[in-house]
Amino acid sequence: MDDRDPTNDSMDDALPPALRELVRDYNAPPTVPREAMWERIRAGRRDGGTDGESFEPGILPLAERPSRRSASPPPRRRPPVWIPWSAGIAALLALGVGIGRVWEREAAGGARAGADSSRAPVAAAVPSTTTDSATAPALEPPAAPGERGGNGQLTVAARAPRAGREPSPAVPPSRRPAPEDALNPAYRLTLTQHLSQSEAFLTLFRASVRSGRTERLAGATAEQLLATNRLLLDSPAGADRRTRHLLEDLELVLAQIAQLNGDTQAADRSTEARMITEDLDQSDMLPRIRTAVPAGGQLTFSQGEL
Amino acid sequence: MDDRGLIARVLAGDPAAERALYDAHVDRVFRLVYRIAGDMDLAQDCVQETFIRAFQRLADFRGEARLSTWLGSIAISVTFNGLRKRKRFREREVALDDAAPIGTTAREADPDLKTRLRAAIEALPDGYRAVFVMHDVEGYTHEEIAATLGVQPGTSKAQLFRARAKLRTALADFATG
Repeated sequence: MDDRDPTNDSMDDALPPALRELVRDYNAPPTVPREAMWERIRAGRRDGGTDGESFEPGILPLAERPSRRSASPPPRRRPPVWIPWSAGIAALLALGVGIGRVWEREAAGGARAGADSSRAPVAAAVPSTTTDSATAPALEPPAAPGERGGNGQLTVAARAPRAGREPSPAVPPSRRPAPEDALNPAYRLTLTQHLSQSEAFLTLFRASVRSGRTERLAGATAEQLLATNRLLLDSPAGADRRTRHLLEDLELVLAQIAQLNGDTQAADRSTEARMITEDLDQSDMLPRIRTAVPAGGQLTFSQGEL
Repeated sequence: MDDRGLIARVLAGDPAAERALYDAHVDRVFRLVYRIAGDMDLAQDCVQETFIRAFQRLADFRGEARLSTWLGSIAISVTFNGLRKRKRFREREVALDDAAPIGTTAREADPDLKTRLRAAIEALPDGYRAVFVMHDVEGYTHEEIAATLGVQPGTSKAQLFRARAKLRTALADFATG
């Protein structure tokens, strides 16, 4: 039975063709020993089934979790203290990005006028506290590469044009990594603050998951961080290649956490949170963020830079 | 007869229904388990364990997901548990036998891409590996994977993205064009 659905696959990050062929042969199953297995299943059931050993931590199947309907409610616990995000902080970060855009345009001397002039003015590109829905960062996950429509799909490579903004060209200027020394101070300030806040959030999130708690607040906070992250990625001020790669990986993690606030039940959220934590560890996200944030999170400015 | 009817008959104690339910799902379960386990003995053990557990817990099956999805989720968990136990057992055996460390063979002595690919897949963390095998090897959709593992489709896609990136990195020195 072939359940392949090639239309559901993103080809942007697909393995090379030669590898794909080998992958399909990975552990190719032999003929199913139906009768032999059935006899052992019957014997196992006669003998009383499994020895009842519990699953080790990891991927838990939906059915293996104890029913929560009859269980007594867990004792109320003090929720973890999440760093509160105020509209003022979000506006400050967005303002920093906006300043960076103006600086970038002036520094380039209009060299990018062809591309920049097609963009919305700075005031419109910077999300205001009055929530301009046309230019505010989309809270719903953008469409996946090669796919259209918003069905909660996660973008991992290409990005769909946001509502209210003109479609990006094939190679938008904002995606060309800036030289390492060319990051403007306002952008660097915003980036540093964002990375510091993300590090704190992810550290708390990981600790909560490991202690068995997955609070709904995590999704909302992740959405706010995700919005800022996308602003930084989209800013023409740009970032060096390594920082851009970090922001893209951070976007991936934040988007997963943001989706935890969906309609999933608590048990499913716990499994997903564990997988996200595993992803966090595998991608070395926290050490990379700590490396990217200057010691003390302080920036010094030469006279006249702002 | 559909799964719901089969389940009702199984719960009523009909042995023919039990066999019918097994026959309807064993191929798909075995394929998935074998792809992950890569060993006939272990795969058979895991499939048997899966169905034994499923029959034990069939009364708890709420029917919110498809039966095949529910069975798949049990199978995945059983298989990874089995692999961990086997890995721990073999590590103890290696320590006792004072054998050469695993995985230190130089690339030049083991250039076979297929072998390296196998090792790279088996080195993936459980989450990545489950998603990768289900999607790229067995052809499950992200919605099916998400339902089986109890995650969002977006998480499935993210895990697949990471898994592919790790494999590309592990095999970067091969000219795969």
